[in-house]
Amino acid sequence: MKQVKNNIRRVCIFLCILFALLAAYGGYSITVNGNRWFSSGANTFVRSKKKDVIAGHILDRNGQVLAYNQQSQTAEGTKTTRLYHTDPLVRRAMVHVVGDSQGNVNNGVESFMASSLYGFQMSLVERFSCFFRGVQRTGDDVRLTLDSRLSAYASGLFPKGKAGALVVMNYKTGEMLAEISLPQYDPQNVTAQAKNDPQKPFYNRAVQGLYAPGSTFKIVTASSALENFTDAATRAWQCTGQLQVGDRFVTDAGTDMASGKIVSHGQLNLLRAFQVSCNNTFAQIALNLGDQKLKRTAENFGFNDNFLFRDVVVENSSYPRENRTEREIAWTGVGQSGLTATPLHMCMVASAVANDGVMMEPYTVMRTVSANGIMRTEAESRVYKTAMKPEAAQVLKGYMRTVVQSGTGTAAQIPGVQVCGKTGSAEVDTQENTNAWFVGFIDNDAHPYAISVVVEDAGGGGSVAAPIAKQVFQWMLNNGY
Amino acid sequence: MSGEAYELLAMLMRYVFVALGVVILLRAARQLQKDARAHKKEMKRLPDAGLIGEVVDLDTGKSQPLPREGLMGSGGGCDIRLKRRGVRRRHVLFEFVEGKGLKIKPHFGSKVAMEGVEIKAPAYALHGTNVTLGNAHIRIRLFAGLNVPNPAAFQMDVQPMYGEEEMVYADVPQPFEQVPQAMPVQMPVSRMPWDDAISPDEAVQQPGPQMPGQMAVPALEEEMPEDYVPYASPVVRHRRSERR
Amino acid sequence: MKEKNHKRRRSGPGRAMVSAVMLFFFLAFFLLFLQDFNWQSLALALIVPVIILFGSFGISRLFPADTLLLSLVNFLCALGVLVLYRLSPERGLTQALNYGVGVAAMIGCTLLIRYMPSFRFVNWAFMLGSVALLALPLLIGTERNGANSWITFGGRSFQPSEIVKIALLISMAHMLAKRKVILTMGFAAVCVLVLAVQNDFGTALLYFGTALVLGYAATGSVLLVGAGVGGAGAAVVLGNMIMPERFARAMSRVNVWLDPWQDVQGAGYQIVQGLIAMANGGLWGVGLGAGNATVIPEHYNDFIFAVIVNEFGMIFGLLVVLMYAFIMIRGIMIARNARTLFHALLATGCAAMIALQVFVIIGGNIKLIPLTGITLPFISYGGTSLVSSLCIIGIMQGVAARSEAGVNEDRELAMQGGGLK
Repeated sequence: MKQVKNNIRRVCIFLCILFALLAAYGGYSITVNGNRWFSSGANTFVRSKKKDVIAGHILDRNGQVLAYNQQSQTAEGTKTTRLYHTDPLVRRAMVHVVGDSQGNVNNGVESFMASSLYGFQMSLVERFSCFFRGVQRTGDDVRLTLDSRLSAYASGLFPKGKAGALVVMNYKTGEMLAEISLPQYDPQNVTAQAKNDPQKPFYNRAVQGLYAPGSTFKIVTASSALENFTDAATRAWQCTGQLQVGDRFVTDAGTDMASGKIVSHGQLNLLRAFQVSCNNTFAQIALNLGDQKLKRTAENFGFNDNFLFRDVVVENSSYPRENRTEREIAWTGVGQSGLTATPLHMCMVASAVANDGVMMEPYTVMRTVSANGIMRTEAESRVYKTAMKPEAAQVLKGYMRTVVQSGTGTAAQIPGVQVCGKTGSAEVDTQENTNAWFVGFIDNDAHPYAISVVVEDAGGGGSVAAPIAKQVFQWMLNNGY
Repeated sequence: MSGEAYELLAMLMRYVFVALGVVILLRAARQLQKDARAHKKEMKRLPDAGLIGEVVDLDTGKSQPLPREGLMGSGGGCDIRLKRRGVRRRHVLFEFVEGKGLKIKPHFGSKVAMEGVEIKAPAYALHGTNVTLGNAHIRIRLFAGLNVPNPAAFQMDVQPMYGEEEMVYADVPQPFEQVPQAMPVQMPVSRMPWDDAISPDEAVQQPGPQMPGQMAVPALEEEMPEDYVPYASPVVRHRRSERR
Repeated sequence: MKEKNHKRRRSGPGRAMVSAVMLFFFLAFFLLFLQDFNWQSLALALIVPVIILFGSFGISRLFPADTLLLSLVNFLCALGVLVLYRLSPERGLTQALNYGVGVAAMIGCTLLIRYMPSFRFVNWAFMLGSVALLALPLLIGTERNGANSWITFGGRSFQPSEIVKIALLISMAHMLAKRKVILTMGFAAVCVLVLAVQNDFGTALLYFGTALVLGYAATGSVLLVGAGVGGAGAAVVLGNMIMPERFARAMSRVNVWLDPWQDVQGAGYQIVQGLIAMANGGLWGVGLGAGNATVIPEHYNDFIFAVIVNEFGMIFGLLVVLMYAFIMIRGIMIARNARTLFHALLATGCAAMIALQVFVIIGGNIKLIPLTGITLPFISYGGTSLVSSLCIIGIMQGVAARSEAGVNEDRELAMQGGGLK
C-alpha cells in the first residue's frame, strides 16, 4: 500500500510533466511560430478580413513608396486596388521582398507582415476610436531597411537571361540593404508568361535558393583548420593537382583528367591555398580534420540550424549528416557534395568574418508605423550567433583581403577601400557552366557592408560574380553609404 | 448587431472570459490546497484511520501500524518493514477480509509460519496471532470493533501456542482498564512540556535506553509516513477524543 | 451535538467559484445572443447557469459527490456546449442532451463503486465483454476517418472503445490489486492490439499508456514499463512485416506531423488549418463568435481545442489545460487517500486516462506529437465520449465517497474508544 502510494505520487509527477510540456510547447509555438502560421497563404481568416481594412503602405529605407492602395469609384461602390512603385524597374527589383497582392511569392512582406498591414496589430482602443468616428480602419505602414534604387541598379548588373541572387547587408547591425532574385516579374501585371517561365520567377532565390556554396565554403573549412590545427597558418601542403581519395580524384579547376592536363600548385601554405582556391589542399584539410570537426565548425556558422529570424524566412542550410565516405568528406571541404546554403546565409558567413566572428541576425523591416503616425515597432539589431574567435576572424580577413588583392577575386578591387572576398565556382550536374559565387565585404568601419552574389550557370566566380560585387560597392560608396 | 460592433464587443469580452477563467482556477487551486490540508489534519486527529491494528515485533518490542492491505518484508516500500536475516524484500502479502481476519499470503518461496506451523497457502491471522517471517517474530494485534471472528471461539487450522492468560485478553471488546500489556518492556517515561495530554503511566514507551527530554520515536522513523503518530495506548486515545 | 461537530462537513467549492462559472456562461451565451438576436441563445444564457448551479451544489445532495471535481467538469462540459453551439446550434443542443445522459451514468458509476463490495465475480465477465465489444467493429463496424472502430446501431453510431474504457479500468485495477501483473498486461495488450488492427491508433495509444501507468503504480517496476515499450516496438516492427501497406499509412501520419507544411492543401490540411486557427487567435483570441475555425475539418471533434484557442486565445487554452491538470491532481489525491489497493489503483487509472487523453489530443493539435483522432474529454462533440468521460469522473467520486465512508467509520470507532481488542 505504502509503496503503491509512493508510486502514485511518481505517476502524478509524470502526468504533471506531460501537462507542463503541453503548456510550454503550446505557449512557445504560438509566440515563436505564430506570425509564420498567421501569414501563411493558407490562412483564409486574413483574406476574409481584407475588405474591412485599408492596407498600409510599404516603404523603402528612403521613404519611397513601394506599395499603396488606390481607391476608385465604380458602379458597385468603392473599389480598392493595390498598386506598386511607379517605376517598373524598381517594382520588378523589389518584387521578391515585397510580394504581390495575389501571394505568388512566399513570405513577401505583403503576406508576412499581413498582421501589421491589415491592422491586426491595432489596439482595442484604436479600433474603438475608428468605430465611433465611423472611419474605415487603416493598417500600419511598414518601412523596410532595403534600398529600392540599389536593388534596381544591382538587378541591371546581372548578365542577360541569367538567374541569380544578390544580398547586401550591414554586417555590424544585420539590416539588409538589398535582396534581389532574378529573373523578376511585374507584380502589377502578372503575365501567364511569368507563371510558366521554367526559370520560376516567383521563386525568391536569395532566401529560398539552396545552392552548393562551392569554394566560398572554404571560408568555413579554413576557419575549422585555424580552430583545430595549432600550426594551421604555417603547415605546408602538397598540391599535385589531383588528390586520390579511394578510387576517385579530387581535382582542381582547370585540371582535366581525360586529356591529362593537370594544374598543380606545388607546395603551399593555408594563405596561398586560400588565395588561389586550391581544391586539393582544402580536400586534404577536410580529410585531416575529419567529418565531425568540420561539421561542428559548419554548425557554428549556422549550417543545419533552424533559422527563425524575425522577418526573413530563410531555407535552412545543410551540412550532410551521416554515412559519409572519404571522398564525400574531401569534396565537402571544397563546398560540394551535399552541402547547400542560400545566398543570404553565405552573406552572413562573410559578415561573421568581417564582424570579428559575430554573426548578426538579418532583418528587413526597419519599423512599423500606425496610420496616426505612432511608432508601433522598431527593429533593433540582435546577435544571431558567434561563429568563431576574433583572432581567427582577423586571420581569415587577411586571407580574404589577399584573394581580392592578388588572388582569384581581383575583379572586385576598388581603389581607396579594402575589399575582402572569396570567389566560388560551384559545379552543378544539370548545368553546362558552374554557378558563379562571390561573397565579400568592405573592411571599413564607416562602410560596414557585406555582399553575396550568385549567378547561375554563368562560369567562374572571379570573372562573373566579383565584378558585380565591385559595381554594387562602388555604387554604394558613391551614393553615401 | 453589426459585424464590426459585435467583433469589438467580443474582443472586449475575451478579457472578461480569461479573467473569469483565472478566478475559477484560483478558487479551485485554493480548494485543492484546503482539502489536502483538511485531510492531513483529519488524519492527525485520527492516527489510526485506515489502519486495522498494529504489528508488534517481538524481537525488539517495537510496533508498526497495520494497514488494511499491503506488504511485509525488508524492502523500503513495505508497509510492515522487518530488517532481519531471513526476511526477503517482499516476504508476505496481507489483506484484511471482513469476517475472516487478516489474510496472510506468503510470497512464492517465502518462509512463513503462523503459531509455529509453516504455511504455504494463504491463512487468516486474528488478534494475537504470532507469525514468524524468516527470523522475525511478530504478533498481529487488531483493533476492537472490527468484524473478525473471536479467536477463542474460532478454530484455526494452526495450533495455537500461546498460553491461556493471553487468550483471555483476546476475546474482549471491553473497557480500557483491561487493555492487555502486549509490550514486552515498560520503561520510565520522559515527559515533554507539550504533550501534557499523556500522563507518564499511560504512554507506551519505546524500549531501550532513552535520554531524558527525548521524544519517544517510533521504530524505523525514516520510513514512517508523515502523518503517522506513534501508537499510544488506546486509553490515551480515548481520553483525547473525549477532550475534543 | 458533539457528534455533529465531529462529522466533517463536506467542503465544496466556494460560492465565488460557482458564481464565476455561472457568470462566464451567462455572458458567453448573451454575447452570442447579441450577435444575431437569436432567442435560443438568450434562453440558453438563462438556463445554462441554472443547470450549473444545480450540477455543482444540488447534485451533491443526491449522491456522495466531490463538488470541486463536479464544478470543474461542469465548466468544461458547458464550455464544450458553448463552443459547439456557437459553431452549429444543433450540435450544441445535442451535446447538452448527451450531458444529461452522462450525468445519470456518472451517478450510476459513483454508486456502483461506492457500494459494490468486490468485483471478484464480475471481473471475468468484464474482461471477456471488453474484448468482445472491442472486436465487434471488425465484424459489423463502419469506417470513419480511416478508423474502423465504430458501430452503427439504430441509426446512431458509437465507439465501443469509449465504453470499454470503464470496464478496462475496473478490471485492470482489480487484477493488479491481486498482483496478477502478467494477466493484466496480457489483457491490456490484447485490447491495444485489437484497436491497432482497427487503425484506431489514438485510443490504442491511450489504453497502452494507461496500462503502463497503472502497471507502474502497482509494481513500481521500471522494468515493466521498459518491457511494455519494448513490446510495443516489437509489435510495430512485426506489423511492418505483416501489413506493410497499413504501416506505410501510419508512417505517413508521422511524416505529416514532422512537416505538415509540405502538403498544405492535402495530407497536412487539417493540422495546418488547426495551427493557423490557433495563430489567428494568438494569445488573446479573436473573440467569441468572431473566428472562422469552421474551415478546420473535424473542428467539432478532434480540433475543438484549436477552436477554443482561436476564439478565446492561447492564454485561455492554457487555463483549460490547467483545469484538466487539476482534475488529474484531484484524482491522484483521491487515489492516495483510498483505503484499499483496488480503489487507489482505480482512481489512479481514471486520473491517468483523462490526463493521457488530454495530452494525446491537445499534443496532436499543437503538433507536439503526431495527430491521432481521439476526443478531448468533456468538450468534444460526441455522446459516447462525453458519457464515458463522465463515468470516469463518477468512478473517481465513488472512490472518494468510499474512503470518506471509511474515515467516518474510523471516526466513530475513535469516538467509541477504538483501540486494540
